Amino acid sequence: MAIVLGISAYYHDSAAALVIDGNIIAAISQERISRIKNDSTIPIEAAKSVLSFARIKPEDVDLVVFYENPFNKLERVLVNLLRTFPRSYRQFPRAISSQIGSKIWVKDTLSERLKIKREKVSFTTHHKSHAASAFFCSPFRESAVLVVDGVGEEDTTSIWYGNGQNLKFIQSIPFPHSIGLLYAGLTAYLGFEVNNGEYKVMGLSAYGSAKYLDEFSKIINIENDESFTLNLKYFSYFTDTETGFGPALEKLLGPKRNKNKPWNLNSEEDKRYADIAATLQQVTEDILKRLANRALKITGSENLCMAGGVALNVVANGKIAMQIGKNHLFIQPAAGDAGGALGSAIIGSIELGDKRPTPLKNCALGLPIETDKVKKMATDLGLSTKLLSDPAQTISEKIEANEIVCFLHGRFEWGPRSLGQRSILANPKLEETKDELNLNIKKRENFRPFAPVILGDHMDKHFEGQPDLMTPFMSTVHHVKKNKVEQLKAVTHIDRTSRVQSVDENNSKLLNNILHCVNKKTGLPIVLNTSLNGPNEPIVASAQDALLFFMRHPVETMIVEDQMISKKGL
Amino acid sequence: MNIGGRIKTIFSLIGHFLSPSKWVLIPMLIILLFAGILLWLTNGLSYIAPFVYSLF
Amino acid sequence: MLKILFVKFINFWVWRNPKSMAGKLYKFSLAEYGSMLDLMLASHSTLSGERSSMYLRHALDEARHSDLFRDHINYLADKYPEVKYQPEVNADIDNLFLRMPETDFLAFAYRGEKRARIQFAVYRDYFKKKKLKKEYELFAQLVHDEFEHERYIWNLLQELTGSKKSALVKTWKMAVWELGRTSLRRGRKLSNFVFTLTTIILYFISMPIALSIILFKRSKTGWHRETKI
Repeated sequence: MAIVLGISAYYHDSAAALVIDGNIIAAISQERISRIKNDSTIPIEAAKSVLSFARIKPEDVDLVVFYENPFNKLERVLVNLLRTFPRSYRQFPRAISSQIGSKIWVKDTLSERLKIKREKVSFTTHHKSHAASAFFCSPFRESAVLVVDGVGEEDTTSIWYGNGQNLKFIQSIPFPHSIGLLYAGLTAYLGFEVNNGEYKVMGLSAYGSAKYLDEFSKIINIENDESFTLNLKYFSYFTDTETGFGPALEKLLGPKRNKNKPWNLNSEEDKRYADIAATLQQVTEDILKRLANRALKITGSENLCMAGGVALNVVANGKIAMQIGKNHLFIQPAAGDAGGALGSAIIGSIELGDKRPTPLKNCALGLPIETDKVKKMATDLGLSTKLLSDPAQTISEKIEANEIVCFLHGRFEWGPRSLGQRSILANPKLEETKDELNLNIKKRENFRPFAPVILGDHMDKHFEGQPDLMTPFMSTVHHVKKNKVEQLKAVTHIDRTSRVQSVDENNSKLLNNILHCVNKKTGLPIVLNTSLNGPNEPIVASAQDALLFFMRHPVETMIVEDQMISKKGL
Repeated sequence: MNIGGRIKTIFSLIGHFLSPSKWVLIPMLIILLFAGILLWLTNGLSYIAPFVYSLF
Repeated sequence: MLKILFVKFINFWVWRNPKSMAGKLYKFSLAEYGSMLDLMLASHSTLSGERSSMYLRHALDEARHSDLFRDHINYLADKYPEVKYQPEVNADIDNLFLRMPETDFLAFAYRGEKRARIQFAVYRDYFKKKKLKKEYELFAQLVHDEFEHERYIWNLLQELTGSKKSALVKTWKMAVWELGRTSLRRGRKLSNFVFTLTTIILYFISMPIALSIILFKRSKTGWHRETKI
């Protein structure tokens, strides 16, 4: 019976998670509180939020587990800086300053700022945190676990075997050979921001064809035992942390793309970049499928759990699921570094004798929306408010009328996807809706697709597939049925795939009701569902965030639980 | 700041790099030691820097 | 007064070409975005519901200002190839509201708004003279907004401190605090420079260690640390 706080921080997206007596109580990414996208600072505010949500005082916490070992990390950083002597001289001061200036003191910082005894703060390892977050949240009693990311302390890829309460390390591939860093380097080459643009590359890849396989065979070599080796001359992530790729890559693939230039996929130049993205995606999928096979083969399991930033590649996840069976693959929704907070909290909880958590059914692990506060502040801002007797009915009417609706309900989501707690909902039929959202609200590249949410028991009528372990969390893609593409233009990507979310009464009652009402009105149990945020902003969390978003964007209606806010009278 | 805790961290760090299986890493402690001193000294410089400016 | 003269004096240099103009506007966009984050934090953290709404309204203005600057950069990018598009702006938060009492925060914000209003008024007049309508309208709008902010914050500061005199004292106190902060920032720049330089020297002195690592600790490839189930 223990109260355990898990913390991830300092690299990409920091987070805090709270597990009490083996139950996941709350999990929050720091960016949702600080409002800084991919905030990697030590998540003190997120930690305080999960504790105050559960009404736990810091002194009552039994254990704080940090998701990786800072000394192992320092060792790897130092060894690699010296191994690349003298090219890494510019990185050396920055790396040393951040390591010995803050990162190695994480135990002290957490203890001092959270006012928890230092003896109660411990470390686990990066890939173990990822593996635990995937396996212990899965419905599997036993499973192979594959972790693929940029780099942890030293490992970039690892295979584990989970059985009941146990998680056993099997083997790993060390830095600098990394699928995550390959993808990140090419992301930078294509003019997107590393750690934030990888999913844009994935979306772009559907517009190209894999014409650069010969070139890529020079960049990465796949061995017979499914391990892989990067040709390091094309990369520079140990000498230049901004780009990650070297001049040799530009010699091989042509000049890098200008970072801020608007995309035009009708131009020859951008078509070439789309082809490079498509090749990268295909190579990544190929390696991941091989790794998945190996993990299953050497563990003798028929189930697979995946975590690490690369497991956020939903297109690859869909291909792996096709290969091993859809109900044998589970991806923890916060598969990136934030998820490490959850994994480390579960590791601590099990170490203190608690049972593993029940399988994750729902991602609403954040803070609830304060409806009264939204109502009061909306009135103060001159917005009009109205109490709705049947919010699902009102939303369905607006969707039918092709209106775009902001929708906030309950506790905000854990992980990078909006799953109906902080969402923008719209009619999935019209392509214009997609353009309107991309150009005027989300202000993002016009090739980016939107996702649908559908009633689970209607899924096979519109998509080639049934609900599985990943569809409630939008962690995979399915093809839209050929005869349904016309009806689902706003949520069908150019390759006919769709990152579909399935809903039933158990994982979201209100969203389930909305979809039933929409079905009655439009004959489609489907709604476009995208995250409630502007360009490069974290998804909305609080009342203030919601109103800030609403006032800044051309959306006329926001529904917060049973309150409708509109701009009438402004 | 808990000075006792910070000292424990320093000892843990030294212990990590003094492991016999990692003998190649032992000299790195010297680098870390010097870098730590430099960081400490130059951080202190932030506070006296305005006066340093007045010297030029 | 001196500051106004200085801003007027360097106008020709700041706005010398579209690229330089875009650079300056980007800095303003960042500053406004950072203020928005600080005001959102204030709106979340204040104990008064009324002030929470006030700070939110102010945050909305700051966000709009940041967007106005960014949009103007993109307008310039449409016209001049040397100007880069700026699709989004990222700024850091100072967490000022958590680091100081609310009245200090207000005094700080008041000084910032006043400073911005004076500076933007110089730019407004400069662009009016140059007959650059779009730029003139941009800064005219900003001067108007900054004046409104200055007014409401001053009223609030007087209300919370109890008198005009106490409010004034607060602003003086914050002037001293800002002076210290500016000095510390300059100090940090110098100390970062010294640290970087000395650490690079340390790096090159470490060459024998680096060579031993290169010789005896080669990077591994393939699977390692295999454990059987």
